[in-house]
Amino acid sequence: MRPFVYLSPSSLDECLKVLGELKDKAKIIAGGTDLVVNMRAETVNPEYVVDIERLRELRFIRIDDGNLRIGAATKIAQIEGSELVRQKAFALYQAASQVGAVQTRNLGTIAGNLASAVPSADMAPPLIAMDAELVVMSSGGQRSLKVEDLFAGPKATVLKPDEVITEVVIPGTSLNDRTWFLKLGRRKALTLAIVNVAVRLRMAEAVVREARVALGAVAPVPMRSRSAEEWLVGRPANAENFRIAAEKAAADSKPITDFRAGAEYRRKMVKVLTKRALSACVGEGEMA
Amino acid sequence: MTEASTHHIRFTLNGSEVSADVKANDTLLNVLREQLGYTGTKRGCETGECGACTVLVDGKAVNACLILAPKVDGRAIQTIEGLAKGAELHPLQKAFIEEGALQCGFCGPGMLMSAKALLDEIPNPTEDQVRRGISGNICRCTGYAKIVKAIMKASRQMARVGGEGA
Repeated sequence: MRPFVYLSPSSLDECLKVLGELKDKAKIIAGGTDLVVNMRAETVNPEYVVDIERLRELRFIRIDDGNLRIGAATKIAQIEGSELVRQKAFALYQAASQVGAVQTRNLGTIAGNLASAVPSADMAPPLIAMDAELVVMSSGGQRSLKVEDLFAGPKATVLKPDEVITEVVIPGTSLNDRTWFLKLGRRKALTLAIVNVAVRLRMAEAVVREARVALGAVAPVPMRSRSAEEWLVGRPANAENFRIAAEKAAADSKPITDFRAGAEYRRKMVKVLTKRALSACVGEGEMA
Repeated sequence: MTEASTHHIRFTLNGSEVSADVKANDTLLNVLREQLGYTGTKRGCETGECGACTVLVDGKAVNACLILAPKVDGRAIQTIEGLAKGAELHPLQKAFIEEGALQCGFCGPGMLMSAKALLDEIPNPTEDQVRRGISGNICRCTGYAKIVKAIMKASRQMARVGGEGA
């Protein structure tokens, strides 16, 4: 690990000021599960590392104005253990419980998982499926950004060097919908997804009124399958429609072949996982 | 080239106050092993994937190789050296010996600290919970069955002792 200056601002205001001055000389650290690995490999070599892990302003899970708000530096383990998340955003709970392993969940944070922008990031599909937005702050002000629009490419985001994610906001309109997350990896723990899928369905009677199908690890960035979503809306939530939507999701995906899996296998698994997630979402279990 | 900043940090290590001067680009693992001589915590993959360096920070199992040293200022750290009370082994350590849960032993300290964190949180875990609790620790001798058995045994023994004490 090359030398750097470590800074630990005591408030969010101070943090924003520091980042505004240092700009691209600085990297933000929270849990460090990605950054420390990359710094040790010397693929990321910042002059300054600005620590936000202990900023109290960034650690909370609460309902506010009907929306579920999660502080950026909230640990994945806290999300996994939150009864509020389990009840209101089930797919996010499912994803949190499958990130890394115990130790990395105790270190890693929700916004860190997103900001690292690994295509397989487990937090991304459920948050995209729930139309979640980020609050992004800099010394110049704040803006909101859809999680879906955060990613610019593998390990790249649209965030400017002086910007920091402060909150993840799941809109209240998503909180009463059914959601489900599935991850396929080489093993159960400590593995990056070969494919991960999150779905959200809003139902009236047995007809789908709103649908989201979000896919990870099968494109340069986490993505939605618009054609699967469009197929589902207005149609009965049944096995045949789920099968067709799953085929559309597979067709929308743009997987690559790498050391974890081949593109063809990934595409096939998008179909399997999407169908299973949709079925599980309406309580039909994991229909084959 | 940038010089690393240095930081005077204080924390508790197995209940005792310690202080150290650390460099920004050092990890907790290095400080424990190289500066303080606590070599019970093992250096494995150094990418957070093997669990050999597992220690408890404020009671939570974490990978010491992923933690920048300045971050532990003010924290409470427990390592394998603090598990036994003097000459009296912790019930987990006794159970690991009785069940033959150590082969080469390299994963042992991390495995034991993960097990301790688990039992501190869930005193009577199911076998599934035990397997999940040590899922971040790799044993290359693949002695998992005996490790799981030992942790289950320790949890029963600790419940019994706790019961007598109550």
